[in-house]
Formats: sequence, C-alpha cells, structure tokens
Amino acid sequence: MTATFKPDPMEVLMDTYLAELLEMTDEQVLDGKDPAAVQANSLQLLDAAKAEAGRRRLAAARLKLQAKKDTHDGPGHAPTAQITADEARAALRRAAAANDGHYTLAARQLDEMADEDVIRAYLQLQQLEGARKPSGESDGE
Amino acid sequence: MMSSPPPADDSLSLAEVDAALRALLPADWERALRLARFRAGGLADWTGESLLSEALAKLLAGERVWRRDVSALQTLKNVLHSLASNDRKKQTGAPIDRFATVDVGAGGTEDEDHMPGVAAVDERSPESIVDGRSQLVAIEKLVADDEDAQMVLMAWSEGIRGKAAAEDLDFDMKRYDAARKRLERKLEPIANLRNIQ
Repeated sequence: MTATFKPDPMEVLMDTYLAELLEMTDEQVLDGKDPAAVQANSLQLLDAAKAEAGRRRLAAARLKLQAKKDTHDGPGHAPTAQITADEARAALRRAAAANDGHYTLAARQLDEMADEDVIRAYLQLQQLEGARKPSGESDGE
Repeated sequence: MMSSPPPADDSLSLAEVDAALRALLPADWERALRLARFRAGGLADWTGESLLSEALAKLLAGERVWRRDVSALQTLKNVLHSLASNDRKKQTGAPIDRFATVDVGAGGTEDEDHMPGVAAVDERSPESIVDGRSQLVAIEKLVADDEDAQMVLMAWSEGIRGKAAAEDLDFDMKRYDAARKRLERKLEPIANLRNIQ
C-alpha cells in the first residue's frame, strides 16, 4: 500500500477545535460554571502534576546515578569500595606519607572529611594508580 | 554535583512553565480540559482529566518542551495530541487492536461487539495517519445517532468551524452550538461509560 502524505486527521480536528474554543467568549466556554471553582480544581490538578513531575525527575536522577555507579563497577574499571571509611583513610594516609610528588594530600584533612568523601577520594586514588601503573601490575599488596 | 543544563533561550524554563500555567485564566483552563476530553475521546484508557494531568506533568518535568513563541493552549494541544498518538501506537501493538479500521477482505467486520485483531504496521507517518483515522472512526461511532453532531465533526475534520461551518451545513448558530455541545458531551471517554474500575 502506498500512502500519499496527508495530515493526521486527529491533528486537523484538534487544530479546528482549538480555534473554535478560542473564538468563543470566556462566558460561552465556561457555560455557567463558577470560574473560581474551575480555577481551584485546575490548580489542584496542576499541583498534583507538579508533584508527579518532581517524582519523575528524582527517579530519573537516581537512575542516572545508578548507571554511573554501574559503569564504575563494570569490568575494566576501577573497583567500587568494599572498604570502610577508616580503611580508606589509612590507605590515603599511606599514599600521602609516600609523598612521591604525584599526589598532594594533607593528612590532617582526612580527619575533617566526611566518610563518603574519604571513600570517594580513595576510589579516585585507585583509578589514578591504575592509570599510572603498567597493565597487570598489582597495588603491591 | 551535576545539574540540568539551562533550557535553550527559545524554550521556557521549568519555573517559567509553572508560572505560565498558574497564570491561566479559568476559561483557558476550561478550554484546556475540553481539548483534553476531545483528544481522549474514543480512547479506552484515558479521561480528559488524566490526559491533561499527564500533559502537565510532562511539561513540568521537562519531558516536553514549551517553545517561547507558542501559547499555553497551543502547547497543551500539541502535548495532548502527542500523548494520545503515542498511546494509540502502543494499543495497536497489542494482540487485539481495539480501534483499528479493518480493510474489506481482511476477514473481519467493523462491529462494536467484536473488535478484530489487526497487526500493526510499523511505519511512521502512514501509521500515525491510520491511527488518526481509526480514532476518528471511533469518535464518529460515538455520535452515530446524532446527525447534526456528525455534521459538525465532519466540518471540523476538514478544518472548517464556527460561522463558516454553520453556513456550510446550513445551520443557524443556535443549531450549530447545540450540535457542538452534544458532540462535546458525547466524547465522554469509553472508560467512564464502562465504569471500568
């Protein structure tokens, strides 16, 4: 079947109906309904839609974050932390003590950092170490 | 911390969308609702209110863009149409297409009680045209017992409305308005009529 392009009939209908509604006066459109009641109901609908929109944006953000985490957990990437914040601090202190000039890290800052920031810094260190070391070399455990 | 990129200058920000919707006058809200009811007509799973609600959520979530040079009602009309069209495409992918028009010779009949199954053809423009026609057929069925309302629907589907439509149909404005109102009332969604829980 070959279809010659025609506009979507429902779209034509909607355009016509909208034009019809816009030509009508506000009184005709309201058709005896109380404007205040219409306004109140509509704002209720709007508020509910806004709440739903917020939930969707949050869900989308969480999915994005999870996808990011999954990427980091994937094969060929640096491992996620199976490590406590204290262990991460100890590892970072050792790196700072080695002081080989590659990283600048004030040991006292570690005590002031939140746990999740410490773990994040540890993971970044792991990634950087992985990037520096030739393939196959371990962390020296 | 990642944040959303700012909207293009030719689109409203989410805050602007919210403000613009809150500024709508009661009559414009009523127009929006009527548009939604009209677009939901013939669709089993939507009411006008639920379709409008979804359109608002899409705009407020940034899932649909509101261009700066387009009015609120035009924007809502576009989103409503898009949502309903997408819904139709999902429906036609189901085992039983409740709204398809059956070609003569395909073995089925257009019968309100026996909706034939028709395989959806996955082509873009032709499918959307078929979907639009199918919904138009569904709406025509809703007004099958009202000749004047059918005439108004036909005029609108040709892009003719208001006084021009009344003249073409040889209606006075009173008769035209009455037919229009009956047409609008008959677009009560099928779901409501069935009292589906």
